[in-house]
Amino acid sequence: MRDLLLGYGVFATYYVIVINTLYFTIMLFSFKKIFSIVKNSKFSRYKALSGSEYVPSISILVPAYNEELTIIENVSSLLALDYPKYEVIVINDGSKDDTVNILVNEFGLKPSQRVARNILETEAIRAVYHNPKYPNLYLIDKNNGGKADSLNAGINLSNHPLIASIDADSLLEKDALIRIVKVYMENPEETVAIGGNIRIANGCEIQDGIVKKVHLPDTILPMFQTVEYLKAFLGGRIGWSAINGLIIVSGAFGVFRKDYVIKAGGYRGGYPGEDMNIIIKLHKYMLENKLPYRIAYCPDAVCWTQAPDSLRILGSQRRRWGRGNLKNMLEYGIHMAFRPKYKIMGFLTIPYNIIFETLNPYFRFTGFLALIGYVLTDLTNWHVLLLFSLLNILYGILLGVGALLLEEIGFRRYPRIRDIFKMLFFIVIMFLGYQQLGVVWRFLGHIEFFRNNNTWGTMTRTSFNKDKKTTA
Amino acid sequence: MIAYESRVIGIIYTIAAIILICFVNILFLKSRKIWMEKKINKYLLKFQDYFTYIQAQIDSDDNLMAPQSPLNSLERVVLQKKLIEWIHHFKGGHREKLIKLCGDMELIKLDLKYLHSPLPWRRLNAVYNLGAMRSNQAMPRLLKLLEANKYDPIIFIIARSIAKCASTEDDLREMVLLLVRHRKNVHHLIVDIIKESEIDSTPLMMEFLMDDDYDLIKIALVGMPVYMESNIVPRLYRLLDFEDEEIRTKATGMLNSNNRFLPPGNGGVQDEIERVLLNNQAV
Repeated sequence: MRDLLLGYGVFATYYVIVINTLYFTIMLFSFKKIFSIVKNSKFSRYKALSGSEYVPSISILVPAYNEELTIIENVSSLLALDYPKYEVIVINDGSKDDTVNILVNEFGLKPSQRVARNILETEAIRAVYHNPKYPNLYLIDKNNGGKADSLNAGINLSNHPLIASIDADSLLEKDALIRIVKVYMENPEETVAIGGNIRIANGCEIQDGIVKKVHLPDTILPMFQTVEYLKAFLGGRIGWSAINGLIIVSGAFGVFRKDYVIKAGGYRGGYPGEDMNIIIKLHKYMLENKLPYRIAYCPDAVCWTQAPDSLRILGSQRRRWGRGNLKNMLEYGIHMAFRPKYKIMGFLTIPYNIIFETLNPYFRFTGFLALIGYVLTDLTNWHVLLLFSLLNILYGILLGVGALLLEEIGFRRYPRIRDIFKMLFFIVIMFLGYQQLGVVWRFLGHIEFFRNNNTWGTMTRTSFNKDKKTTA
Repeated sequence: MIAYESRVIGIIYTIAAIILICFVNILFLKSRKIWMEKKINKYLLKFQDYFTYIQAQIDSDDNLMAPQSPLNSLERVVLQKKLIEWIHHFKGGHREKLIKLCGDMELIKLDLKYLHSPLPWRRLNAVYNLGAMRSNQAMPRLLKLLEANKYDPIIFIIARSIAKCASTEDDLREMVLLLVRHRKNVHHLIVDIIKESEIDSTPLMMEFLMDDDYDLIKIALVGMPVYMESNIVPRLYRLLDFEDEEIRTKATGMLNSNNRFLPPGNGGVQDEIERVLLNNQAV
């Protein structure tokens, strides 16, 4: 029994080494790419491009469910973007709060004759609203069908060849759209989707829907998420996009070629994880049809989002992510893994996701338990447990510090030296409980999946003015 | 067991060393950035009177004078950045005066030298500055750089500088041909870059429209002025028979937006235009 426990513990240790080494390798691709991103960003005149008539037009889709507290600021910030030709389509997904009335009153919207085409199937549309005073704003009021259904309804109404999906609780920087579209313009034939960079807005000074001053969050949970997002977006996604292996474009901000989204079947309803699902489907469609393509990532196109600031809400979000990930892996992942026609997706991204993301809670947790069991049988071997824990923590810190270095080379959004120390502190202490919580939430998400719980879960919105809260 | 432990300990030491290196780098970069910001603010304050002098003299007939005292390298960078900001902002005589000032301050000469630097950062900085300062002397080297670069976003920065520095249609043509050889369908971006030039691009667009190369035709169809000359109409009608769908659509769109070129009672052409338009309304 002792040998079995030790054997499994050693296996878990190597699992941790392999998973982190792979992640570190991806991060090295990020380091390779960051210098060209910085050069491009520094010497491209986005202001001039944002006034150009040669920029492609774009439809911004904003699915909204019970967003009465943030929707006005969100839409106002979208209407003020530096971009020549675009429309904003807010899709009210049968909200139970006052989202529709607030929008109708604020922008003087009236029922419009514009009809959504029936390209993708969606729940019934109750009305489309418009006001010629805001010529590029439309509101779709439809029956509840989920985020994916709302995005499909937005696609049906949209007029432009590119679509951008944006969460209603997020704020785009004024030049975010032109930055991300420039990436598209540099290779329009092959670019089917581009992800933007999501940053945590908690703690920042926000005025009229614009982040005026960047600060780190004052509270613990958003702070953990800040460093977590840095790791995922800078350390991970830049590298994955460099090898065209990006498996997700965040639902909070991404740009897509509408024709290919439709050809891939549109967004899948009924389950969370629609942002990962559409990217997997796009990879699959392009690879099966042998079309040259890329799914790009633009880290200097920034979208600020509200991070959950309570364990209840965060847990709900993470369980939802866990369910979405598992559903996508069971629906597509296992059929694509190790099949040569899916190239990088088949041989790296999908296996990585299945083995190191989906199954991560099981290996890590059980490995840790096995080592505890082993040490309990002979306490003189306590150092084995210590080594395992130290390895786990140090590798995690390395990935966090690597992401911080990428941030400092490329973006430098957090201005003070003490911000660095604060982030470093949270990178270290996230291994003393927060990360383990994440593993548990993911595991609970899997249980919910097998119990057929498809709900979106609880999501409390906080106004960007900080004084109001509502539950969705 | 011992082998396992010693291997893990080795890995732990390696990771700790990399963390330390990364952290030292982060602190160095942050401190350097803060130091630079302070220095730049100090120099901006120092040059405040000089900037006021430029703003006051920009409308006069006299040339702008360079600063009296010698400049260190960071002062030169700060000053050049401000001048380039104004060059982007102004047009016509004002812009020319500022460019001449850059020449008098030997900023152009210095950047021409940096254009040959082995350091990519310094080279790209020079490419950008020389484009802003409209230095035609940089043209041969810029074209060489564009030719030597593989396809990545940097080539568009070089191309934009070429467009700004171009003094003849030949410069622009060469730039376009160097971009087109990558066959990436970046027609809109190329037209946007061409429009940065002060040269009238209409003759070049006419030339591209008559070419056999599909990419050049598409560039012409995107970049042709809305109110086109009647002598291109026969060519546009011929383009309606091309195999390439994008060319047919764009040609149709151009003919359609210039109704005066549609022959009265010519149902066949009108039908063709409608057919192509309908085909391309799919999504």
